[in-house]
Amino acid sequence: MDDRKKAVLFISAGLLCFAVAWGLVRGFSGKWPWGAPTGLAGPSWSVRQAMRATEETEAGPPVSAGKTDPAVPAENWIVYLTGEVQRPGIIEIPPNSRLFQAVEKAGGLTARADRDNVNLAAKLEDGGHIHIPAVGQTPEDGKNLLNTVSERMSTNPSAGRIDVNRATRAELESLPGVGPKLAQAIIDDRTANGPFARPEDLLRVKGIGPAKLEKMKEMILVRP
Amino acid sequence: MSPLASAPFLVILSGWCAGIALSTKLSPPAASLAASLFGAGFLLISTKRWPPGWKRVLPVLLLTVSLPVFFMNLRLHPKTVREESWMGQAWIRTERAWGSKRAVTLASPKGRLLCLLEPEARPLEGERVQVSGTVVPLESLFSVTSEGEFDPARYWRAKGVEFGFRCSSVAAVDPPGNRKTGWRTRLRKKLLLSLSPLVRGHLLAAWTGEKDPEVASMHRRWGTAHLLAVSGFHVGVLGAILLWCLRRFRFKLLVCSSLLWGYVFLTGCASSACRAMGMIQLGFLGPVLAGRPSSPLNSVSVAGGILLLINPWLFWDIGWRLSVISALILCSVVRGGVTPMRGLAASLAIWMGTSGEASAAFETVPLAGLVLNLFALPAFSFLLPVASVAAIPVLAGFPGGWVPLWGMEGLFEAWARFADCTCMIVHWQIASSPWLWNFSAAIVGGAVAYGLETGVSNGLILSLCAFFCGGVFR
Repeated sequence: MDDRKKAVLFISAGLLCFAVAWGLVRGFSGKWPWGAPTGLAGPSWSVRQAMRATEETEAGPPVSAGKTDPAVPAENWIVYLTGEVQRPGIIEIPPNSRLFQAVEKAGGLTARADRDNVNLAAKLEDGGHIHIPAVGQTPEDGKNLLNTVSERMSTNPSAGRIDVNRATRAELESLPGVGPKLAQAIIDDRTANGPFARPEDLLRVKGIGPAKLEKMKEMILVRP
Repeated sequence: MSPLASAPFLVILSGWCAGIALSTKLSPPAASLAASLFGAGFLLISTKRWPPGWKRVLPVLLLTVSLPVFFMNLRLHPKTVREESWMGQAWIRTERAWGSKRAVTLASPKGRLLCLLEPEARPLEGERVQVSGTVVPLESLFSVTSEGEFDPARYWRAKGVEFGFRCSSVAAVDPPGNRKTGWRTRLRKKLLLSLSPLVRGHLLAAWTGEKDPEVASMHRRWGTAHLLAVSGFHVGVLGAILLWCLRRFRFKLLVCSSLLWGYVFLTGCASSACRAMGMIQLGFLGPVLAGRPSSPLNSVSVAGGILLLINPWLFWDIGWRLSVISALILCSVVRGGVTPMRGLAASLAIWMGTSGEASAAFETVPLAGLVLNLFALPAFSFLLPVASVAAIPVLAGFPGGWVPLWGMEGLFEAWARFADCTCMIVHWQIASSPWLWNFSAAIVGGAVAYGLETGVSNGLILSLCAFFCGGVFR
């Protein structure tokens, strides 16, 4: 084979490589069984776990953030998205997602969407219905739904706080300014004098002054 | 000529870039296969004469493309995180303006976190702080972006950030100055308090990598914003000065390398500076280790590729992209020596090759930049070193030190007037569009083909392929 024919052959092979790569991209784009990298929070609490946690919270000791059973696989939430999104309908999202993640899954907002009247940071709940209003449209229904979702999801101010009447030594050590000795002193005090009735009762523990109490006040919970 | 003989790592880098770009569309195995095909396509089209033994090397080369792409794509899958409250101590690694807020990266036991603080918090680099708040997925800190728009989460991932942090309280524990970043804080303070406005803005960028908002907006207007990002230009100018000063010294390469690495660390290890330093280091090591000078195109590819291996997210870092594209075009166009005509051609090609990327990041690029960059590089390779020397007496507190400083302020002012006049005459702006992007990709393809001496027909085909495949890299 002469050089000219060889060159044509190699260039054709090169073009074929690009064409096959292009076909690969076209054919397999978006069909990633593991889930392509997205902006979504990853596996989180399953609905069952969340319900169990809620029951436990209502019944007794609080559930602190970060305590999940990794052995139980997370189940996705399903929400119904209508209105000014590219692909309205049933959307499957990871648990504890926010509205922008559902909107992202639905292909984004349309040009007519009223961005000022939609709180994209609103937390969602499983089985919810969210309506995205158009500009100029009275967004009563949609707003109500969104507000309901965000209100219901954010009415647990105690989430993540540490109950000083039940916390373990390790949990108490995570409070600002509390080391192993002070954590033990808190446990000894509540064992000897009974549970704390209000945050100020912590002042009776040697080593906790008003300044330290002020620092940890937002992080603690006092349940009888 | 063939890239197999002159720049094999260029084939690898092209495949890696394609594989990483496809990570958002394909699974890791499919992306690594596509990357190999891109690499093979590039090699087949850009080769005019095959070197002996190419049949043995080719499979190894393609394997070197596909395997790392597979693992890099696995790493690109963001670590998952559930919202979790956390309090503890962390280091402030970097801080910068971010809209109306300060973006602070924290090195913490939870990983590298990004939090957006109100400016009143006055965080300082190098400080140890007690923080409390909620660890959240990084993406949840920002609003949704469409494809092709600037993605802040990717930007911060390229800076090594893993998660977001909604901070409810932050308080300094130690004063700054007890880490390397503390040095930068002190230097920044000294520059801000001692120097005149234009000298201060330029030296702040050249010495610490920080951008003065006023000077940055001036350079954006002129289309010369790259002069404020520490890159191959700064490292190259400093390297040339150091080599000239140490020309009679026996261990000049060792001393020069150490000083240049020190400079790169001082300026915050920007990806463009690291790429340039890696390339210079390979240039120094080539004759020592291999007994022959290293190919500039190969060195750019190795330096860029190593950075991708360390942090694949850098592929979306505009600093890395502009730096690698500019260096590839420069090395290709001025192969065989610098002449005035080649310098002019390189400057034009770099502007056209980077305008797609720059317009995607800044929405528009000023056409005046095409003219101004012809003068800006020689002008600033004089102004920056001389201003650095002129600032020393003032920084050291010598009496009369303001005289050379005000002289330099006058020179920067003269440049500003010249640039503003040019912008008034050439006042057009080029808006971002997919066509501009593809045109830039075609320029890069054509320049690289010229650098590889592929011949006209192969070069045109490569340029056309780059035009049509350029969209993949957006």
